[in-house]
Amino acid sequence: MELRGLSKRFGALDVIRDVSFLLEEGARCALIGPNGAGKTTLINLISGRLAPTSGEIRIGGRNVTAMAEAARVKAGIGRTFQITNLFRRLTVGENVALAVAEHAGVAGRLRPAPRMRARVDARVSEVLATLRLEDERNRRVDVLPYGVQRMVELAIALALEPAVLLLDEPAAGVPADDVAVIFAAIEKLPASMAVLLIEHDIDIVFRFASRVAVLVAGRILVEGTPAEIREHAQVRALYLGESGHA
Amino acid sequence: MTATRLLDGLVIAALAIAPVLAPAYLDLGTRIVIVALCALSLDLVVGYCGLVTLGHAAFFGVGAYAAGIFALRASAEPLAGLLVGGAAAALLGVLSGAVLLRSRRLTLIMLSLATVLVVQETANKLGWLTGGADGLQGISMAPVAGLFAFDLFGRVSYVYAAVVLALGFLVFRSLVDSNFGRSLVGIRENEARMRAIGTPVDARLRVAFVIAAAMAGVAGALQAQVAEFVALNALSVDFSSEILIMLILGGAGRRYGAFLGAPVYVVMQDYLAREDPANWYLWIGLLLLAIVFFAPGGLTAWIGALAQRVGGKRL
Repeated sequence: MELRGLSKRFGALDVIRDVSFLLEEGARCALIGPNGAGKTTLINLISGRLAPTSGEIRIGGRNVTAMAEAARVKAGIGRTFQITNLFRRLTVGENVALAVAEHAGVAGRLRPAPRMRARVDARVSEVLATLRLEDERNRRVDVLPYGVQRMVELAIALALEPAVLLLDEPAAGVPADDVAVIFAAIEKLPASMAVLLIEHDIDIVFRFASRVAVLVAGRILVEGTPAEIREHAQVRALYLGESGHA
Repeated sequence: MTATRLLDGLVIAALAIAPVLAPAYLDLGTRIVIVALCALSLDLVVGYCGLVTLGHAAFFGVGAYAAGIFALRASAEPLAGLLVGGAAAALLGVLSGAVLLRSRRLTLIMLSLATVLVVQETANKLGWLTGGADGLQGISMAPVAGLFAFDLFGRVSYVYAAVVLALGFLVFRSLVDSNFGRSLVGIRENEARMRAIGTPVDARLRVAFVIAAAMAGVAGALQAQVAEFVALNALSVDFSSEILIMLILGGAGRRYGAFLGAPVYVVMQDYLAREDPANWYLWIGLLLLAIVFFAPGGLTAWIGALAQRVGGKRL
């Protein structure tokens, strides 16, 4: 995935300014930056939730900038949300099945088809097993602990088998024990999948990512390996501070 | 699933048994069956897509007028008339859906109200075609499938309408049990998230809207054929509201809501209009309040919860 000169302006406010960024196949990248830097806006631009003011988004060489959000999913972009965004009155299995059916291209079928249903169910089982959610399959999402809801959020994104996965603070608000479970799952993502992670915990970022981009006031201040970012004087001064925690 | 199939069978069995149990009320039964079909179609839009509309009578009325005009000017064969009524309403569904489905909530309610008013006024102005305020008169239907002539006692009317409703229910059941039906529920529950998993939300809602319009049109066509008359108020906001009330009463998005709401509403309306003609709307209003406060999911949800407490089954 490639971003070329991407900008987003809300009225007089420039939220994203001329961002260019390359995410190669199988890359593990992280996007860090202080609150209000524009990280989630950037994710929303890439996923199609927001339209950019200028610039281009390309997936596999194809310009997807004009595509609607749903079409971009078909083009290979999957995402999770910073604030859990689930089908709260449906079960975990039903949540994932919606994504599986959509990805398999059978969600618009007007007639019940037991064989197709069985295939969808089998794929739901696979996805749930990856995240160790099998036991929660028949539970309604709104009664689940928040940490498990975050896992369901991830399960829906994985069910879409995206080429590019955008993870917007997947562990935000999750108890410490569950954070480890979530990142263990993220570390096992298919090697071919490019992952862009937004995360505030700098230790997790440096452990997970092979490349890190620092976004400040809508601009990429610096991009490099975790070691380079750690040593970057401006990043230390402006963002990491002495504590080493964002 | 087995329990659901059993209940589906019970619904169809009830349609077959009703005229045996109450042979003197066949006309009322036919009216119930027709409005139940209309409420069932509205359930696709309100209950499954989560779109509240007050314009559903437009499809019912257009179906009624199309079937009535077809009977007067082309062919009095009822089955062909049903297809014409359904197709006319589906066409209106395509046209109005392209505009209405761009909005949600209050805007959608207002636009759907405007649609039914525009369609009603158009029917009123086209008096040469529709009979205007006097209604479409002079319809005389041929026997159903060339075999069953409409009789004075309303037996053929009831059986004909009940068979169409049963077929309508099979279509409805097939839709809501399909992946398409499940994706509609997903849209109802979280439209934004459906877009984020790649669902072409607008296209899917349009398909559901047109299918619901066609079903309502078939219900309207039935009404025109069994009454051999189409009144202008088939296209009214009042009728739209009544259908919505029936659905809320029975339970929207609950498979059998239309089958409970329609008979309860029509029987109450019939009884109260006779016993207390001045205040019958007040009683209907009170019933609706009671439902909203004590059984917010409608009668189906209430009975379902009761059954769950007794035997662990869910309606």
